[in-house]
Parts: sequence; structure tokens; C-alpha cells
Amino acid sequence: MKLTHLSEEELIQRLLVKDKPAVDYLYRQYSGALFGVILRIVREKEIAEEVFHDAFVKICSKIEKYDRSKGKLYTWMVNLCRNSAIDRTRTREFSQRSKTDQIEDFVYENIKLSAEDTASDHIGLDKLINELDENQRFVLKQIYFEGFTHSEVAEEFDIPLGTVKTRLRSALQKLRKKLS
Amino acid sequence: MKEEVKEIIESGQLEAYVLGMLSPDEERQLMDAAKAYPEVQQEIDRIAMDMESLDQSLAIDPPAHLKDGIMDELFADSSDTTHTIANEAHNSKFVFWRNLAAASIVLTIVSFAAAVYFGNLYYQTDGELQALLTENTRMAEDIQFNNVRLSELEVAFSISADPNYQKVGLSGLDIQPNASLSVWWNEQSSETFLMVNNLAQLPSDKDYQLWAIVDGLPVDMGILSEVDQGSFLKMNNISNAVAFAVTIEPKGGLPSPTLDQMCALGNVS
Repeated sequence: MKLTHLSEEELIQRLLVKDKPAVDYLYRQYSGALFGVILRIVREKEIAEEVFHDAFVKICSKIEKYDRSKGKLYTWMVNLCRNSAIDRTRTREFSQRSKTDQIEDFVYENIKLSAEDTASDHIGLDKLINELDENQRFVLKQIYFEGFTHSEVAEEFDIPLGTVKTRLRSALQKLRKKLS
Repeated sequence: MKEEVKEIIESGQLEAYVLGMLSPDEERQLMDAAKAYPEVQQEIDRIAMDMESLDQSLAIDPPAHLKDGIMDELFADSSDTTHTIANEAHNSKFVFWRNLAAASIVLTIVSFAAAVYFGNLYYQTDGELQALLTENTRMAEDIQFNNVRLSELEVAFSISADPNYQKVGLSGLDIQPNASLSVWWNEQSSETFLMVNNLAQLPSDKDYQLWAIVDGLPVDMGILSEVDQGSFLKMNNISNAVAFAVTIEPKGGLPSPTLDQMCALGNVS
């Protein structure tokens, strides 16, 4: 039996009692989005698979730790995945990273790939990101796609912390307009 | 009031919050603000939704096998576990006997191969041994022959080196002009040796016989049953010989020579 639609409330209730169809539903709904986030951070498919496996098992088995008052289920899940991915890579990653890095190519590759794969309404998302100004695009990549914190980016690239925050916001605002 | 809300929203702090990148202190402050201003909470929800749809639009499906692994890990119940363990126990027993059987077969094959190999080696070695034994026998015979020949030559050497021996050359007569022999005679000890240089082979019913001429009469010195060139043959002792002669006689020789069968003659000088 496959579940086709569940409210977030119902989904959480079922997950709390380890309902198998609910886990299956959760997987179908979110595995692609979460795996994409992990892969963009760790960059290697095999490592991404390991991280995703562990993170998804953790989401289902530690669902009681999710605090609804702090945000949506997806937000909790994606932050758990992002943190797992960062834990796996960050120690060796951040210090080695050069300021003129080649992250750009990687991000665009994956965006193109996913645009083709999902055949979504968002074909041309790479174009969308290219429409951002350079500063916005840079901060979006560093923080949103690579998982660096605001203060890491501020320190590493000598940008005031407040500026990093507002640049990320304006980048996401532009994407919001384009996506909606 | 409105200005403060706008400031919070525009600061980018809400995005950092949704990304889980605020410190606990900052987070608490923001939660307070969200409680105080519904617009802040609304904006937080909106940012969360935006990020979710951005991630969904960038979704990359994980490989299918990952799902099975995850489901197995989450839903492996105890009966399954027991079954698996029982199976493994059965399997390990089976694997043990299977490995043992395989090992036995391998051992049998190796033993058979070794038997064939060493069997062949044995027969080959035995053949070689027989060949060596034959060779050894042949060499022993050669050595024996050479020893005999060596002692003959030693005798010949000592005779020819001994100044008490005098050599009497016997030359061929009419019936065998090519005949050539020498008699080595020690006048003091009477010992006499004959050495054939050249002498025709005789029919099997004939022998050569050596004679010494003493006081005008022939004395029997013995027969040569075989012509053996180059060796010293010990003949009968004789004293006071003046000449030596060889005749061809019937097998076994005669007490007195057949004179018309004389083939070689030589005088003592």
C-alpha cells in the first residue's frame, strides 16, 4: 500500500510509531531534495550515499527530537543532512579551499543535471542563478550550496558579516520571484 | 515597530536561522521576535518553503539500492534476525563440510599426481641405474684388459731394458717371406721370450712351433696357438742355442720339426 498524500501533522504522527508506509512516503517525497543537498556539499557520490543513508535512518529513528515550534519538518531534516555532510567533509575541506576556487563549475553542473533529470517547471535554473549579481551568486553558492556558515564566509573572504547575511537574503529573494 | 520588523526581516538573519546557522543566543532572540511579531514568523515560514522548493527543484534521486538498505536497517525485525542467524549457522556448517570436501578432492588429485610423478621418476632412475651398471661392468672389463696389457708391457719393457737379454731377429723364409719375429733370450738364466712382429694367420688345424738349434739339433721351445702381435710370449727355457726357427705344424705341435714347413729363421749373433 502506497500513501499518496499525507499532511505534515499526520506524517509526523505515523513516523513517531515507525509506520512503514509513512517512512516510504517520506522517502519518496524528500530523498531527492535531501540527497541533492548532501551531494553538493560532499561532492563524491559514494560518500554522499553513505551520508544520506545514515542521515535518513537518523531522521526516522530520532523523529521524536524534531521540535515543531522551531520550524517545518523539511527544515529540520535538511539541516540534519547538511550538518552530517559538513561533519563528513569540513575538517579537511575548509582549510584547503582556495579563494579562487572552482566550486562554480560543480554547482552549475549539478544544477543543469537536476534540471534535466526532474523535468520540472524550473528548467533554466542555472540561467536563473546566472542572473544574480556576482556577489549574491557567490554567497549563495558558499552558504546555501556548499554549507559554509555566514561567519566562515565573512572571515575567509573578508566580507562584513552583516553584508554576507543581506547578500544571501537578496539572492534568495530573487530566486523566490523567479521560482514562484 | 514596523521599522524594527522590517529591519529584522531585511537583515538576512531569518535565512541564517532557517539554515540552522545561528548561535543559541541569536536563535533565542529571534524566537522572541517571532512570537512578538507575526510578520517575522510568517517570513520564517516563507523562507523555509522557498528553500524546500529550491531544493526540490534541484533534487537528485539517490540510487535505488540505497532505499532497500535504509528500509532494511529501519525495519529488520527480530524474527527476521533469528531466521538470518539460523541460516548463517546452517550455512557455516554447510560451508565447513563443503570446504572439507573440496579440500579432500584437491588432496586426492595432488596425491595421485605425486604418485604418477614419483613412479615415473622411479622407473626412469631405475633405467638409468641399469645403464650405469652396464657401463660400470664394461669399464671394469676395459680396466682389466688394460691391466693385463700394462703388465705385458711392463714385462716387455723390463725385458728390452735388461742388458742380459739378447735379441735374435727371425726373418721370413720362402713359404712366408714377410714373416718377422724376434726372440729375446737370456743366456745366463735360459729364459726365452718370443715377440711376433708379422706372421700370417694359420688354419685352425695348424700351430706355429718355435725351435732352438742346440748342438746341431732342434729343441722344442713351445707352440703359438694364437698370433698375438706385439706381446712377449714366454717360451721354454734353453741354454746354448745358436739359432731359432719357426715351423708350421699340425695342431699341438710335433716332437721334431717338419723342415719343409720352416717359415722363419735367425742365428744367435
